[in-house]
Amino acid sequence: MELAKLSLEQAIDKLNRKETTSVELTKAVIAQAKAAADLNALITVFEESALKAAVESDKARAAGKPLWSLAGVPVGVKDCICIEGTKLTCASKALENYISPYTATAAQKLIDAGAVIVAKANMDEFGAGNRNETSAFGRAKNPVDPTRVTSGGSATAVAAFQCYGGAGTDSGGGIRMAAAYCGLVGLKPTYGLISRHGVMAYSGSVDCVGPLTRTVADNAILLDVMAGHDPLDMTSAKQPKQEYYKNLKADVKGLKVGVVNGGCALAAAAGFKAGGATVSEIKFPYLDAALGAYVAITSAEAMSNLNRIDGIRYGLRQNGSGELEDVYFKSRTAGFGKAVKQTIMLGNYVLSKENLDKCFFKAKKIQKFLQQEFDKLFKQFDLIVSPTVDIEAPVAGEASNPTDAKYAVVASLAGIPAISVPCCNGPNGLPMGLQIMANKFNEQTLLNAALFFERAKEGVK
Amino acid sequence: MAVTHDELVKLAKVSGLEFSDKEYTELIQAFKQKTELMEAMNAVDTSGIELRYEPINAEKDLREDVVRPSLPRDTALSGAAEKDSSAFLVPATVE
Amino acid sequence: MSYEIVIGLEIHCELKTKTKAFCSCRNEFGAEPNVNVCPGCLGMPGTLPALNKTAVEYCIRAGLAVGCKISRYSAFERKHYFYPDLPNAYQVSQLEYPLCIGGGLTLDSGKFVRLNRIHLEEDAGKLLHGPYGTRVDLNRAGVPLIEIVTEPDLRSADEAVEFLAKLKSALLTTGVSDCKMQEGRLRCDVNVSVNKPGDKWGTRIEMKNLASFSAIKRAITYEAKRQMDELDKGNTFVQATRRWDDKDGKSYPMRDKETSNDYRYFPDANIIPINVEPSYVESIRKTLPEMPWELKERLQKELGLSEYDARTITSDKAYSDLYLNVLKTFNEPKFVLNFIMGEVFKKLNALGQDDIEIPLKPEILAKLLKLYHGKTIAQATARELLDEIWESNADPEQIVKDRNLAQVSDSGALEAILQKLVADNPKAAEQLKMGDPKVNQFFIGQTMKATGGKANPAVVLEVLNKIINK
Repeated sequence: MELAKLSLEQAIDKLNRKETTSVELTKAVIAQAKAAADLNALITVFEESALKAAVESDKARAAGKPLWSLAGVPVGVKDCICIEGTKLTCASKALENYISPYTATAAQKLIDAGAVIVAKANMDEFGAGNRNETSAFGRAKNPVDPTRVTSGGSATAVAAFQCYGGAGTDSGGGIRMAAAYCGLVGLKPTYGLISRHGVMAYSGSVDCVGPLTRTVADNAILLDVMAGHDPLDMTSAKQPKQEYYKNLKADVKGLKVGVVNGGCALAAAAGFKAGGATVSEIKFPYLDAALGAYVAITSAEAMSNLNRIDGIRYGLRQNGSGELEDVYFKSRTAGFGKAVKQTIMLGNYVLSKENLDKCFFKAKKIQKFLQQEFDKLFKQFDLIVSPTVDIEAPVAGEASNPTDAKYAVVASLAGIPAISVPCCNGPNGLPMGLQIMANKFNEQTLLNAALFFERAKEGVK
Repeated sequence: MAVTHDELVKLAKVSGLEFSDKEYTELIQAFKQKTELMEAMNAVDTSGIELRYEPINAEKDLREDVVRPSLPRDTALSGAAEKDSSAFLVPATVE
Repeated sequence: MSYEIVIGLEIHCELKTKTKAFCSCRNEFGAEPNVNVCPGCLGMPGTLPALNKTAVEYCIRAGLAVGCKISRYSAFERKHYFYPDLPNAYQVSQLEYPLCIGGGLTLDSGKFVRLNRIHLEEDAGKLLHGPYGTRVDLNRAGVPLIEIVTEPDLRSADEAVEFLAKLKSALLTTGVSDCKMQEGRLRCDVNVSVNKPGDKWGTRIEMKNLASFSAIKRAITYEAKRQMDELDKGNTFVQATRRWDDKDGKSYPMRDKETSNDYRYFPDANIIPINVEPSYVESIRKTLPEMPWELKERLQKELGLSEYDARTITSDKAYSDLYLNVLKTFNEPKFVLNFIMGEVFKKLNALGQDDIEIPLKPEILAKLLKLYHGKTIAQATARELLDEIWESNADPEQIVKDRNLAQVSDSGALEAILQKLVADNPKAAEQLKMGDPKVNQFFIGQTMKATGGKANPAVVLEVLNKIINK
């Protein structure tokens, strides 16, 4: 148990000091996963292959072979990220038995860095939702209070010590809201910093892969591994390689911080002053418009991306009457859950002749507008701070409220990096998150500020 | 901009989906919520915004035309519920 | 009552890149089903497009060849519909920002046919219809296509076919496509409407995927007549898509859902728009070969060919390639032209195909023509040998030697034959003496018969004159 609770950074350190082995770490997290299986964090657990990889890693270490940064460390990935020869369900009945024939670039980078992939995490079906209640395999629970939701099984798994860190995806808050609800650190990097190749798309213009961890340092370690240009993803950015972990320091000196108030954001952000930052409140009257644009763009893109799920080349197939048309209608109707179907219908509504301009293209214009607004803001400020989400994790089964995501979606649409760090506790004593946003590719500033905030909070404890 | 049952039936056709009457009723509710959210976009004046994006260079940034291995055919077909030794199978299509 | 026919074409042409438009699978015709497929062109979860640089270059190249303006900014959209040959359930195409705009081609009449655009898109897979349903082969899914859209400038089936032949020849010359209609690499959708002269344009009917020149010609002729008949009866019709059945020679309405144009186009967020620098366009322009219409002028100017001859020999790249390559080793422009336009064309017409392929190598034909031109072989021998070497490319010199096919120019050998002929045909000999030239032909013919066609006619006459005037 204690072994499973190590941070990812500590686990690497212990491995390097030969105080533990990859097999011990892997067994520890798998034991956690089994003990708390009712949290439903994971869709697939790779017990056998993970232990085999751990044995190999330990052998390599014992033989004195050069080791990569994550050598022997068990991590999990969200089940929309492909790993060759393993199931990729996207938490959908449609893909219940689908085996991916290739590996996503982000996952390959983790594997190449020596990580032991222990599990594929639960999620909202194809990403449609933000409470992980739409999974065809049941909801993932919040380990802090299992009656409440998480925003993804990856967060549940990391918070419940079922892995040392995870690769999640974030279209409009998937990583950040999950982090906020479960008391974790979750980073949505700049759009294009981590390759999306091999990640089942929800909405290509906002989807990002990012790390979910228990500490800021852990987050920097995973970001170092996953970031980088990929020729297989045209939207992947050509940026010079950064060393986020090496350059990580709790430092906000001289930074100008703007706060979009809500929840405890203003009070929390005041803490940056102690580090030599200047903090001021700003008005950002576009949250509602941004949410509307997010709904329009993502439903259209998700519809388009999900139309390939037709039961012909892979996935659940139902023939109905035996007419060609029925293969499409019956397979898709049987394969998709309610939220996904509603998203597809809305996407077609948004793209219909009558609504194309006033919904879809209006939304794309809002997105561009937001990018321009952030360009202006980042001329005045180094960081923009807001709540990640202004409520505690909701009780499961309550009617979902799309406005929960209004703070999260602006960074998604603007394509800027945003991190959620544990902040205050809510009225029911549950964790809440502070969202810190920076200009594109300023992940280092963001992580440094997040580390400062994390340290300051520890000091308060 | 409330959506009607008839409009939803048309959307279901292009969506490749079927719904029961109860589901249509739920969809009307869901659409109401989502269309209200989208209406909030109108608060922002976007009249001056042109939808062009930062392009990449056609000469330097595109994929080189070099063949890489394809999937073994068995792997390509392995996920299909209906197939023969070399192709995916569908009900007869009209020529 | 006379009508005016208005025709517009949409031509789809597969590019002969090494790989597909958005993945690195081989772009290859005729492979076993589903061997050139990857997660990307199978539409598997998580795949992303990576645009092929050469496909873009070829599209630009085609555009430059026919005078298009190349867009500085170009972007891609998704066109949605469900069909088993379309793995992603959308085709990546270009709607708002095509790569090439405008341009056009001049017909022989001098009429300029305008192009609207040329854009880049991806092909769909193939459906193989069998007794137990349909098999889906996705080798072709994702192969790059260019779509060439004309303005409605064509006014007859003949004009449409001439335009298409000229376009095909131009595309072949640029080297961006094989343009093989029989393999479906060049396909054509035709829009036809009819109206009374001076009236507004009539309702447009589209016919899809016409795969040969004759189908195009017949479909336009049939469809225009059908529309005129309807209008004459006082009927009206709505804009629609019809299917041309080449076997029946008739067009049929297509089912509603097949013609639904609710494609819900929208920008593909996974494909970043591309910037085409003018310097890049110029570098491509510099590598453009001589186009057929330029070659035509040059042949008239430099080799003194007539307008008709120059036009005919440049009307297909296969002709002009053969002609120019024969001239490389046998520079007798008129002689070679006459032989190609006579004997070679005769052979090709006998084969009667849209995609002209000449298996005979130019250097082999040049050898044959040298033998013929130098009178080593007779015309009849040259014809026979053309048949024989057409596919085998056997060396004509060797054949002539091995089979002793050279003309008999040995006056001694011919004298014996002719003396016998003069003796056997005293009446003809008398006529010849009187100076009747028609009888020359009789003696030449008979000599040929006796020598198996190998007698050199000039020598025959020479010897004959000697005998008669003795």
